Amino acid sequence: MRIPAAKILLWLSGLAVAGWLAAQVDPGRYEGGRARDEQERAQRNRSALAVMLGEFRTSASDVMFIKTERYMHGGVAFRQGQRTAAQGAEDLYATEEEEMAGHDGEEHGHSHGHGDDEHGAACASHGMPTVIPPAEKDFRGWVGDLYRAVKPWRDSSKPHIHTDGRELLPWFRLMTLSDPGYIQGYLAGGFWLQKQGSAMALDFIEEGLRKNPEAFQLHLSRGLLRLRQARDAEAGPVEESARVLFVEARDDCLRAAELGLSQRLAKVDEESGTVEDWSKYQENDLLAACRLAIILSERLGEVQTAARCRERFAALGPHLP
Amino acid sequence: MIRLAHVIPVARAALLDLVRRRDVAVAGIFTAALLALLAGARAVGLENPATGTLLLNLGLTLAVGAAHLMTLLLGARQFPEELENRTLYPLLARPVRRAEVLAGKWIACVLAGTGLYAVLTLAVLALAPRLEFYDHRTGFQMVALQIPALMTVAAWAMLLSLLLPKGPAVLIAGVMTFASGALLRLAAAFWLVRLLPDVSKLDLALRYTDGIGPLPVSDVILLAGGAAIWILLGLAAAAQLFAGKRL
Repeated sequence: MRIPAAKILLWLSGLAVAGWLAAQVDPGRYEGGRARDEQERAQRNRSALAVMLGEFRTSASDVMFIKTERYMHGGVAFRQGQRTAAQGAEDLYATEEEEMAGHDGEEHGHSHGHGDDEHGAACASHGMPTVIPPAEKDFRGWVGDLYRAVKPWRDSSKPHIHTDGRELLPWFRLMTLSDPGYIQGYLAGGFWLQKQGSAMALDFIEEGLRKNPEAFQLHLSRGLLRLRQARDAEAGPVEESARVLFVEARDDCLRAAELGLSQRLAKVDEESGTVEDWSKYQENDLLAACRLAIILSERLGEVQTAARCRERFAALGPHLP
Repeated sequence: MIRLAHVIPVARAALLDLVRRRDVAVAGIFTAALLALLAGARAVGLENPATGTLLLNLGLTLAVGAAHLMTLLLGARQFPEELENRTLYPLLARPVRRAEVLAGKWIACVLAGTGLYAVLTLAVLALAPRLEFYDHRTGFQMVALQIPALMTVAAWAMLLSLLLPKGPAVLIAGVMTFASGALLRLAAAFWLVRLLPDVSKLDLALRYTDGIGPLPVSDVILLAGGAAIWILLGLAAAAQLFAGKRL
């Protein structure tokens, strides 16, 4: 059967028009949402229903995030919903901010996720229960012994062993492809990518920003990456390029602070004055963005900008420099 | 010109075949399993509203998945099996046009899929606890947009079954139905991939359970317009292939 070329062309044009029409709308592109909310996610993953369902979750990206944790711990499965992976940009890049601020992170009351220090990660996840329990807590007797012998398992009372993270990278790629609104995937993926090269990490974070321009944590993440580049460039012969990077890092942090602050304000309950649906990771990231915006402005000699930032972000409390 | 008086008996025959082959029983077992899960979760009790939302999302996602799968399998088997068993010949010996046979079978597939979707969604909405805010306007859009989605799946499954053997047709229709969204994101640089009908755009279950407001009317019109073109193109190509098929 021969079909005229004109008909085929018309048919393909129709498909192109339909594809174009559908591409104009993305029903999954919206700010917030329970599926992406870390607190809701943690509640869900701790529920009896989630335990019954195993690794099934409301989104493929969540399933993949659990996979990255397994890979990171050499296959050892820890209880779901008690993540070891850091939740916010500030957790991931804690070293950068601390070095700029010149004080220890514990001073402002947060614990680190992975940071640059693998020992820090081991400490953060130390003592977390494994899915296969230790012998003294396992009622299954020899069946439990068999599980511990043949499946990846490690006594949770001992420090964890973390892989170098390279094998996690495809999972971050897949989770952000399956859900471009999954900001946590971009944050954690960017962190692990910068171990392979900051340019790749920057590209990844920028992709996240193109898809989620209002995600203040991604702006902070980009600022922290640029800050790291600026510090590397500072050690090199061309000082001007370092300054440009410092300015870009400051601008990113400033943008993150502005966005974060407006998003936080929108979540303040007028009656009680408390901030609803706002995790401690978001709060930490917002504080980090404000602090860095001030510190970097001062470092660049822009005293007036720093003063304006201090005034603008004063509502966040006494943690600002 | 398609005569409705000839289309309806074909659709009725396809639906009768559905009952005869116990597809309805399989759908019933699936529905019962889903209801048992929801009732069990309710009986055990939910620790927090987030778990209620997880259950609601799970139920709605399963409803969409089951309806799409049923429509796809029905659409893909209509012609290959009838041709193989030679049951199509007596039908075509009657004064009925091939396009009318196609339209009748397509309507039957859409009705079966929509029926299953309606039963499952109603059951989920009735049984799953709703402990958080859900925008009912988004819920209405979610249900309404599934109809063109199922129409698209049926049309393209039939088109592919006329183009390819049944196995590959089911496989490609399955990829198109369940993975086109991911494929489009994965290989957006390839223009050929962008031509794939993406029915995942018409699934608002996550938007609904996330408590997000409805899509603007202009967006709904764009989505429905895109789906209408996919349906027309799928049916037109299937009709062309069926008309030219040597029997």
